[in-house]
Amino acid sequence: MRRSLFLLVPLALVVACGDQIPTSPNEATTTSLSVVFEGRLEVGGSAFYSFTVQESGSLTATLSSVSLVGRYEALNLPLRIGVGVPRGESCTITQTAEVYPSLTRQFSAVLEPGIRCIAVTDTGLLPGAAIFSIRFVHS
Amino acid sequence: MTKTVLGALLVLACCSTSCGDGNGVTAPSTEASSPIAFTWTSLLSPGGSASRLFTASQSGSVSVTLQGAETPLGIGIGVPRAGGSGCRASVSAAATPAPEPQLTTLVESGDYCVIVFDAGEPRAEQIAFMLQVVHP
Repeated sequence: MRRSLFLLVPLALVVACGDQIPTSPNEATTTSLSVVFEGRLEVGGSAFYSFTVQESGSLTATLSSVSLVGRYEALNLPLRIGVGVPRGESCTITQTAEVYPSLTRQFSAVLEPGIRCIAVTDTGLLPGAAIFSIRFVHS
Repeated sequence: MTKTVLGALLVLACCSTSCGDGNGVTAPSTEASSPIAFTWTSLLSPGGSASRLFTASQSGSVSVTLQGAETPLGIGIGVPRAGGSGCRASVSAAATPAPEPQLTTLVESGDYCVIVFDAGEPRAEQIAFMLQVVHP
């Protein structure tokens, strides 16, 4: 029931679940090349978001928030974020890091032009389905 | 806190542009040089949350002080939701009104938000609160 209600919310953002459903870049909030990737992460699951890199350059990312679905409190536990290349319905990770929620940059990578993806994965510590928010900037 | 002070808070809260409707967000205030301090007074609906945006002009520390409320409340610092309404907390704490900050975190330049939420016992009445935010 809770999940159904959640899915009805007209979020103008990426909502991807543990089955790594690829999503369209148009569903994220993009201002210049700054993107907010926000969605639901199931226990043991992962989610990713695909985007296009126009020219070689760096990507910086911040896991800015993790909270249990339906809760306001911040959850201070690590998730694994990474970047890679979309392959079918998954994201093949080429660089990854385990990070705690923060409001300062935690992750950086150099990306070549093309379609790339950023992914987030439960490290095994999520006590329940969570809502995450990742801010990233790319060229 | 005396009833007089709470009464004053309530009056101020009713004049505030943001109320605890669950995901209310107030636009950033006009800001000058860093650090910037603003006081936010509003009402929180039972079981709900209220949030307010602010912009950090540079990297630095953000501190939040719950200065007034008749009951402990949850407070958080985070990022605006992608949909533009509400706040996703990056750090949060249960706070009892006090003169010193109950929550502090580092930020880079950019848009952030502060959230106040009711994490206490079920209640029927709105809660008036007064919060001070200091940010770069």
